[in-house]
Amino acid sequence: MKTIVVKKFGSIISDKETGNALLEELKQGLKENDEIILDLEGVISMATFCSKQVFGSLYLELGADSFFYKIKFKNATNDVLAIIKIGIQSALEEFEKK
Amino acid sequence: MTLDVPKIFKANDVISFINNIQVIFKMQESMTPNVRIDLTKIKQISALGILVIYKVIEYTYVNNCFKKPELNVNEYIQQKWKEYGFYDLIHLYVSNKDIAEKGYKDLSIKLQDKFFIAPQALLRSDNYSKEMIEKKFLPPIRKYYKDSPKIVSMVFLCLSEILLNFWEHAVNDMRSIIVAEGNKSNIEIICADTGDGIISTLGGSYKEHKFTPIDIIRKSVEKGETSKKMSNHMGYGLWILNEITTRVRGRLHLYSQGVYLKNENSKILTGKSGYWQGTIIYLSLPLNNPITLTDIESYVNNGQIKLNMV
Repeated sequence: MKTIVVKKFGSIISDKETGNALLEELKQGLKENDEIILDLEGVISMATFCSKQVFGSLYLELGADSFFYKIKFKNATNDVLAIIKIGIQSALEEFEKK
Repeated sequence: MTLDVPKIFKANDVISFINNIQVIFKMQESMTPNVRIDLTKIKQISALGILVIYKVIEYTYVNNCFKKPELNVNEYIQQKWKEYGFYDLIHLYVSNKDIAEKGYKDLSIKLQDKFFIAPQALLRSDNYSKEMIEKKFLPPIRKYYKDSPKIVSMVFLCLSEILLNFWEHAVNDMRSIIVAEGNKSNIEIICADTGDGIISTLGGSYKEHKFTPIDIIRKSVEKGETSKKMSNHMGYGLWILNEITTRVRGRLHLYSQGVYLKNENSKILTGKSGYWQGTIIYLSLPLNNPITLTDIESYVNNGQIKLNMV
């Protein structure tokens, strides 16, 4: 199990490059570990774009069950969790339209 | 030719100012002689007014609109430039625009009884902007509102969407600038650029429709409207700002390419204005009843998406 401290990417995640870096670290971590803990201590907000970029794409790639068992969230505020859900929901809606 | 500025320049004076100065956006490389920028009549100005005037000065210098323009100022405006951190930057532009590019990096942050965060350039091409935002822009806001996590959450939510919006739609020469000012009861966030603008970027995705610029600016605050469909862009940014503004009875103004949208007292007004190349976003939020995403009903959604909390 690996823990990724998201705060090292910034207290707000608000640009594509940062989102990419986080997503890459997550994917790399999943190659080497069964589970990833995302520690969101100190992360105050995230642009909805980045949420979809990171969590939406990963949710589609892993599927709901796998995402639930492999990606764990720690120290996240309710607002950040809401943003993460929005990103996932948007990715799902877009996938269904295709 | 004289470019005039109103005596009082606050949020509701932007349209008349744009009407007065819109001609500059047709004067690129014209090196028009005998131009006077008259700032001597100003008696009251807000951070929004300061930023918009600065963008006009910057645009005309960078794009060689005028040949040796005369810039007339009074004591008041010079004092305000100093207070808001623009003084040195404007002087650098007037003396040498090449040096002025470096001047952004000397801008400072002031924390007094209220806070004001001096202009930060959103220069996408380097890490400077991100570091400045992370290290200098955000901490004062968090510190100032440390007793109210909900205010911090609301303000940072707005900031993250504004920053993303300007960064992701930016090209290198857009020179987006963000400033913020606040006290215990209100915060204002202002961002302006002279790039492509909402109307042309968002309008590109409605080519099959016959939408007017007013239709487009109205659509820009609707959920899911994005200039980059089928990408990670969700078109939620301006919608979130608009939802929050409506719920806290704040003010959201958008000015772009000849049209405006104002959300005031939970009512949306749109109309034509003079032409501003690019976009100006003005957000003013009262802080007595802060709103975050979890307060917006449609967001507390999807029971089907389960997140694993440890």
